[in-house]
Amino acid sequence: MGYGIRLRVWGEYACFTRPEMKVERVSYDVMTPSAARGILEAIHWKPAIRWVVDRIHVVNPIRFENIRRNEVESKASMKKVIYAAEDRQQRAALVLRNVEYVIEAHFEMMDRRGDEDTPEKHYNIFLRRARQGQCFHRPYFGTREFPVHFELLEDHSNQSDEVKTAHRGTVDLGYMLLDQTYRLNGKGELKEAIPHFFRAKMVDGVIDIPALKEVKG
Amino acid sequence: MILQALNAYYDLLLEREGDRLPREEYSSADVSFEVQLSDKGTVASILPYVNDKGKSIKRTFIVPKQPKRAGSGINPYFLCDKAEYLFGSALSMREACRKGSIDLCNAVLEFASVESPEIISFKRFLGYSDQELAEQLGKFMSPDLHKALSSGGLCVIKFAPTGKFFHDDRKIQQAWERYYGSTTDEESSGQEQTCLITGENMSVNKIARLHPNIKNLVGAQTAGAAIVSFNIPSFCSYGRDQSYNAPTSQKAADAYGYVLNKFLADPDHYVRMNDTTVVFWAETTSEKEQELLSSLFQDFSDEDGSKIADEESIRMRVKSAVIRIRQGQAFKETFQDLDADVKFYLLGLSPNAARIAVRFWYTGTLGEIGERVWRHYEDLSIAGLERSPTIKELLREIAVGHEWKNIPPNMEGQMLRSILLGLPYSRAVFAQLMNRIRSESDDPRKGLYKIGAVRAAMIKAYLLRQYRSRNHALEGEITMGLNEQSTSVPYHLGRLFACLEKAQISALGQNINATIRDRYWGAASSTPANVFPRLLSLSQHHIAKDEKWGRSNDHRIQEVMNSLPGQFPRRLSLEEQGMFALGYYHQRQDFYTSNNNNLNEKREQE
Repeated sequence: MGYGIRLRVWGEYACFTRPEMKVERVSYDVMTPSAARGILEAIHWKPAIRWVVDRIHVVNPIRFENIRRNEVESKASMKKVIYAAEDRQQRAALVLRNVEYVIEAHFEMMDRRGDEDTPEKHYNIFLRRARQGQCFHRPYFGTREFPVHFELLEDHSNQSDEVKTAHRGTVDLGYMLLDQTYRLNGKGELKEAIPHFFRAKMVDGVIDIPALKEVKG
Repeated sequence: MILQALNAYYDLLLEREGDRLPREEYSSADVSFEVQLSDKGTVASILPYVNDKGKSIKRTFIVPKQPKRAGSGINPYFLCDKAEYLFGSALSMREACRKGSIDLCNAVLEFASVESPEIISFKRFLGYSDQELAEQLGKFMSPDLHKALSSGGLCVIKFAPTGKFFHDDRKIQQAWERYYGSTTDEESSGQEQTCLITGENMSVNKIARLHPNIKNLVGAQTAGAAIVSFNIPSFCSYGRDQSYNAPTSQKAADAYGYVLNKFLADPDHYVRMNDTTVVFWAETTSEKEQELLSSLFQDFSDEDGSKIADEESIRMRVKSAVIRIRQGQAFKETFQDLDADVKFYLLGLSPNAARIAVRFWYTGTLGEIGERVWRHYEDLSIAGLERSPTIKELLREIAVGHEWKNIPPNMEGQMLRSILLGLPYSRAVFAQLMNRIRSESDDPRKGLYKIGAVRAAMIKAYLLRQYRSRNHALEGEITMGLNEQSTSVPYHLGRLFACLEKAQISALGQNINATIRDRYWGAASSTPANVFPRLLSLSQHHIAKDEKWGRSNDHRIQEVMNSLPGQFPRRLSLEEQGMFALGYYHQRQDFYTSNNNNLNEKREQE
């Protein structure tokens, strides 16, 4: 893939919530591909492109920490305002501490591209924005409280192998959320979101991400 | 990860126990009563289960599957249910319950291929009107029994002529299995989802709507609480409700629930730490590895005498860890017979009303954890410590008055974490320990000492680990016994303090109201420059008065003084105070052992 990018991301905390333990949150061991996609999209995204995460390098050792946070119990909607003080729920969360990843990704052009949308254009927009630290919104690790620091890795001479990681050998991380696909109803509204899972294997700190289609089977 | 590991253990159990595990159509239930039916289907008697002392107990049976009941709706179970459902208004309880139960049972029995005496009897039981049933019950019903039955508690049904339970009857089981299969196969919508535990693709109606309750968790509701539950709108995403938020096959959900409940019912698999219940297991079918884990984490102080006999049992080997370490044994040598590559899991759970929160989760191989725990014992090893203390015993040292109940909350979890991850102990533990040392005095009658072996061991281990993590030069100087070559000034100050106290005691006898330690410990260990000059001049009086030991004490004081700089430090930090206490302990231990040696020598001479 000609227009692959590598982005180093790091932060003090991260919470990639497991769906089965999303009430009293427990994080996955490593960043999920969809969380990585979210970070990329925060830096640059247009309807013309779709980010595909190819590989995630896990740099730091996996460390968990238990924290408690004040959350709310109801959902806000157009009709309902949440008064946080009256809606409190204290919940425990098992979050990751001191994380650092290198995301390898590329983008694909979508049907909604205009005449002026070329891969070169979007590639360069992304490079420029990432170099300058620009983003549409501050990217985050799983939840908004845990912001991401990012840096573009541009040295293409010696590709992926120079990412230093604390991990050796093969680690089976079990089934992880890959991404979601969406089914729309006739009016173009969301009818159903279908989660897809993949068996994550970390080999010497690198997790290869299967394509969404492969998993769908 | 957590659920997957539990599910994997279920597969192991399946391999080991085979038929004894509840299959998909069955679940285990805790039962309080036994109902006996005659061959005509009349109720012959109802026996509450009691132990030798007449206290009611529950027995566990594997019965047709019992889905979770919530609220006051009518949800009968097959063959094992509360009295309300079995007898309804005949025992002046809700009539609709028995009706629902009869409907269910008839529906199941329709799947029965043949008529056996059991089935005929059971059908007759279902056919009796409430009045007839009330008459049968009236023959043996006592107010006590009635009361017990109305308070809930499940009943199993026994066929009196053969003494076999209905739920063990193969023909009835077959009918149940067919019925169960027919209810779940219906309404297959063709849509598929992935189970996040097993990764299988399956149709949506095989996905668990509710996850099993986990029971026996300290502080949770007695009915149990769930790890996976979505009971408030803010927990749900994308318009999904209940556990469809986390697609899991019913089979996998039952499996992990079964395993976790099994662990929580087995004292060898969990230990309670304040509000957290820690469950641990080794992924193996062999008992030995599990036994090592349980002896590493649990208290074994209250064990009965019979078990202790075997010196080579795993428990005893852990217990004597500190002695083995002193003899230079490594973890691998001590536990050669164990498989070090076995995976182990440690899960900390604490309840929050009807939910369970995961407090921590560690995995590793048995070898890894063994080495870490060994390291911990190695750090603790100190002259005078003859038995490996458990985490709880360590923490009792920082509790006010040595009371178990005064152990500060959270400390156990922190301690466990530092041991498992090989991190320095928490500073809060150390600060509290120094506080206790300062404020307590000896109470030999209760066997409590200002600085006993366990406290000294904790100080030593804390300092060692602290220095190791910072690559501090002092790490090599903290030894098991007295180290006269130490370069640490506070250490020698502690030694000096012990010598001064010794001079006082040998001059004035054991029965002094307040020794210099009782008076000056706090000041001497925190601001030596203020106190030591006065103590030194005081000691000259003691030495002058003491004709027997005065000279040797004076000599010893001089010796220690030689290792000290010209000026006493003005104040000592908390870590330095730890060194002070350690020097004091080592010096005292040295008096004790050299005295013993002297005595032995004398005896030999005589």
